[in-house]
Amino acid sequence: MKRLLCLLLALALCLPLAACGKTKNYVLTEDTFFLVMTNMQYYPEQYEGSELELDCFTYSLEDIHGNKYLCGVRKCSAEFGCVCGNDTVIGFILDAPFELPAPRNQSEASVEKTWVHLKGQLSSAEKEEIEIHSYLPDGSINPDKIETIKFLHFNVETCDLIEDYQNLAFYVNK
Amino acid sequence: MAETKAAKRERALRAKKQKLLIFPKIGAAINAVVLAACFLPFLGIYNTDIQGIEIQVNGWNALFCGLSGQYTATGALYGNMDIFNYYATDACHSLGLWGMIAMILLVVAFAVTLAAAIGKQPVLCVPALALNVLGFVALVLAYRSGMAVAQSDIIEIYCQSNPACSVESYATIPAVLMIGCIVLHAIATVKFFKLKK
Repeated sequence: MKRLLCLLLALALCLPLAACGKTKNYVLTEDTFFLVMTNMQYYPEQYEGSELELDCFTYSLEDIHGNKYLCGVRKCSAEFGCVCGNDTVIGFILDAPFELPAPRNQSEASVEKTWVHLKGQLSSAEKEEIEIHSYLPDGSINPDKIETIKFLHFNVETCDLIEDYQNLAFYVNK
Repeated sequence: MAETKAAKRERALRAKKQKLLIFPKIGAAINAVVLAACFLPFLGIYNTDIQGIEIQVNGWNALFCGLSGQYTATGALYGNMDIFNYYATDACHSLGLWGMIAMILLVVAFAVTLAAAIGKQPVLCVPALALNVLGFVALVLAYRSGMAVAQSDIIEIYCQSNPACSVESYATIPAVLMIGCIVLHAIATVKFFKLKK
């Protein structure tokens, strides 16, 4: 009984200690990608200063004003991140001091895309709001409806092209 | 002759005490099932149309969130508390608090009941009864806190007017099992005090 109480007490003391301390770095895997990315959308401030590594595909976005953004994303269901019709994606706007690989088949329901392994940090915890036209069920753009999506900026330190991407999921959930 | 009578009375009393031990044995078994039932979602979003349980937090997750104060972290220990917390912070903190209290009481109740059964100490049924009652109350409060999340925006985000989608809590299952524990320990306690008289 005494031992059990001591164990519980030790656990109660250790958990908060384990949670604080040095900055944590994150390597997103196929198992953790969606959970960590979702958490990052909700609580970006707790990832500031952390080194992040992830696999994603490049994705080009153009807002209603004609501004173009190159993003690193994966597709997901509409619950998290942005809600933009058939092209719901979760990821970052990429900021890099070098040229990043151009997207390919970005809207196709296929894994044949430009996959990259990125290393870097969040530029800030502030999200950029991008106004885009929504999509109709047939995939065409609906010029009468505008949606606002929010993305975090990601400072790319290194970007490696992934050639063997067959085991990577372009659509993620859970 | 008088000595023999006293010895007989003592033997009869011992036999009755021995019989009482069946209560903590069954009680410990039910307590163990209750602890296992705490792996069920105390808070979950179910979407029967799409993929069943979308996100969830079980009793053990609530314990770790309550102990660590981490309501925005990811990881198996914490379940999906971070997502619920984004939409319903107060309800999640309340769930973490009551969930933590309930889980600690349940674990201690199990330990005490087990000690009563193994150490052959029927007197321990009395604190076990108190712990089970308190644990039951904390479980009910954890359930209430979990269901308060249904009032937040999370339903709109996840369910998008889909009637097959809802916020649910299975904290009722361990709570119902605990009623069995409470009844069992109450009977044991009454019998124990009758023996003492």
